[in-house]
Formats: sequence, structure tokens, C-alpha cells
Amino acid sequence: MARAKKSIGGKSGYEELLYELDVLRTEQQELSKRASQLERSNLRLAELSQSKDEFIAIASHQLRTPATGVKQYIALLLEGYTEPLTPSQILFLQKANQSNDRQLQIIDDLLQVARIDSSSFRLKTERADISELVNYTLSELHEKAESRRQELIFKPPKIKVEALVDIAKFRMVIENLVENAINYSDEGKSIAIKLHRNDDFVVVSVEDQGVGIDSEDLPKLFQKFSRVPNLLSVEVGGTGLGLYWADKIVKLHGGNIEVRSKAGKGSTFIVKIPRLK
Amino acid sequence: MPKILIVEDERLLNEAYDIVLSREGYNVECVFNGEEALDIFPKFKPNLVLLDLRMPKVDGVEFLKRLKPAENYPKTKILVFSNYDDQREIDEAFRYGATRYILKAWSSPTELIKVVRETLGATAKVS
Repeated sequence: MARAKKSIGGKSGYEELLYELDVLRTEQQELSKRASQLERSNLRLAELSQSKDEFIAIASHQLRTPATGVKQYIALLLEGYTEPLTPSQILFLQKANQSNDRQLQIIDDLLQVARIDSSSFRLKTERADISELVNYTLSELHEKAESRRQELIFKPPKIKVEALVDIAKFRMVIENLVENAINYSDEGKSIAIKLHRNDDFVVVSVEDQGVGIDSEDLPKLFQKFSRVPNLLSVEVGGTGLGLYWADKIVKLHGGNIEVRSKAGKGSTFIVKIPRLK
Repeated sequence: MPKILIVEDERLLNEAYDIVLSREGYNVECVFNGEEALDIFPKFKPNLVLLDLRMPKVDGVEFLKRLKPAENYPKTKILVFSNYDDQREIDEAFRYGATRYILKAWSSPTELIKVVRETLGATAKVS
């Protein structure tokens, strides 16, 4: 607060000093008042943040539960727990199942983003062999890639590449990038996953030969709810939260994600995180 | 034949798990909250409990706190099967004796059977 500078004509030095002291005292009282208001606001904000987290947890559970019921009963039909089904019944159930998976995925995405945005979010980091981590993640995605006749190519480096990571979260980052590469590449195209380290960083790159991204869309890529229009975006669907989440997770690890892409020429996503020396 | 106690307040899910596990040959009992589970547990003596976390009356964690499976029933496996993936709650369930945690939203009957078999281990395979 700017202190008022008044001309105090005719007053002695002592009187001026008293006046100054009085002004200072008033300002100090004002500051204490503001500080306690700020403290109350902070407490209120913390309470609101906690309520928001609790609301999200409950809402996601409430949304997940009926969707889980649908999933279970569709699965009972598809996995032979009833009389045999006709081919068209199976086809329609598979479509219902896809829709149900989509619904569950949206709930998961919303929940993940709400968590990372909350003040209480913390990574649980531990020393990890990144080559093993990438291998494990890819093993979960091979089936999906094969269904699109795509090959996931990964040659682990000969040297051990280690970093301090939240294993579950970092796996999800890699999974997110590779799954995007699968979804946004035509059938039969291969996807190359590379891992190396330099003096300071562990670098994982995911390179596809897919639809690519227009240069003017690149800055929007990591924004919340951002979906870049392309030939496959309607078919693939999505909340526009995956890359926002992945970028935040990598930044919390002290790293970043770079993207190199051109429309029609494929994309390369490069994840860098500090290496363990 | 291994005995499985399903503790799940959602009736439709409880019924679905019962259908799947009974057809696999397991001896299954179903209850709908932790209080009923505490009541039936000493009589039924299950090999595995399929345990939801958020339930009315006595929830999953409270059930574990009262049952003390690690001390009182060390051979019983506790498979937490919940739609809450809040890490604090999961950690608490493990602290009080859970053997394994699965997010039930993504688990099909085939996956449920696989996880149950793995959790029970080779000694309790259904013949």
C-alpha cells in the first residue's frame, strides 16, 4: 500500500515523527487485517479443493457403477453364459460393448485430469529401468496394434537406462502416446518406439506414419479438452484430455514432451525426463 | 472346492459375479455389506473374499479392520474389487489385510476368473 505523503506545514520534527508513527500503525493494522482475510480465504480454498476432490471421487464412482453393470452383463452374453447367440446379436453386443468402453474411458480421463489438477496430487517416484517399463507397456498394446495390422517396433538399448519415475503414471504416458499413434495411423503402418539417453535426459520417442498434425494446430495439442481435427478424429473419438494429462505428468517429472509433425506425414512425440546418473 | 465370499452392495454386480464364479465350480456365498460379511465369515470360512470398498453399514476397510485377516485368517485371500481408485483408500485396504486390488469397471468375467485363480494360487485350483 502506498503511504500518503502529506506536507505537514508548521509542525515540529517531533510532531511529524508522531504523525508518521501513527500512519505506520494504521498501515500495520490494515496489513494484519488483510493477512487474516487472506488466511481465511486460503483455508476456504483448501476446503473447496478438498470438496471438489471428494465430489469427483464420488461422481466417478456413481458413474462407473452402472457402466460396470452394463459391461458385466454384455460380457456374460458374449462370453457364453447363455444360449448361443446369432452372428448379428453378437455384432450388436460388440458395438454396445465398444460404446460402454468409451463411456468408461471418458470417466477415467475426467478423473485422472481432476486428480492431477488438485493441489494434493503427488507423484510416487522410484528408480526404474525405462527399457523394461516401455517393454511392459507395449506388451499391453500389441493386441490392439495387431487388430489394425500395425507393428510396434522397439529395440531396447544395450545399456541400462534408468530414471526416477512414478511407474504407473509414466507407463500411462507412454501408453497414451503409443495408443494415439495406433489410432491415428492407417491399418498396416508400423510405429517405431525408440529409447536412448544423453548426458542429462532419458528420451523416449514414438514415431508414426499417421495422419499428422497441421502446424497451426500444434500449439493447441496439449491444451485441456483440445481435439485437433483430422481425417480420423471423428472415428477415434476422445475427450481431448489425454495429451494434457501426459504433458502435466512429464512436467512433474522435470521433463517435457516435444512434437514434430506435418499434416499427412506422420508425427513424432519425444518425451524427455531427467536421467539417473 | 475353494469357497468365495462376495461382498458387494450393487445387487446386479453381486449377481453377475455369483453367476461367473459358481459356473467355474467355486462354492459361492453372497452378502451385500461388511456387517453381513462379518456375520457369515466365521461360519463359511472362505478361501477368498471378493470385497467392494464403499458399502452401507460397514464398508470394506472397516470390515478388514474388524476381521483382522492377517492375524485371524492368514490363509484367506482378500481381493479388493472396487470402482474407487483413490490411492489413500487402496493403501488403507492393504494396510488392513487386502491381498490384491482390481478396478472392477474394466474387469470382464474372464478377467475376474483369471484374477481369482491367480489370487487363490496353485493350491486352491478348481479341479
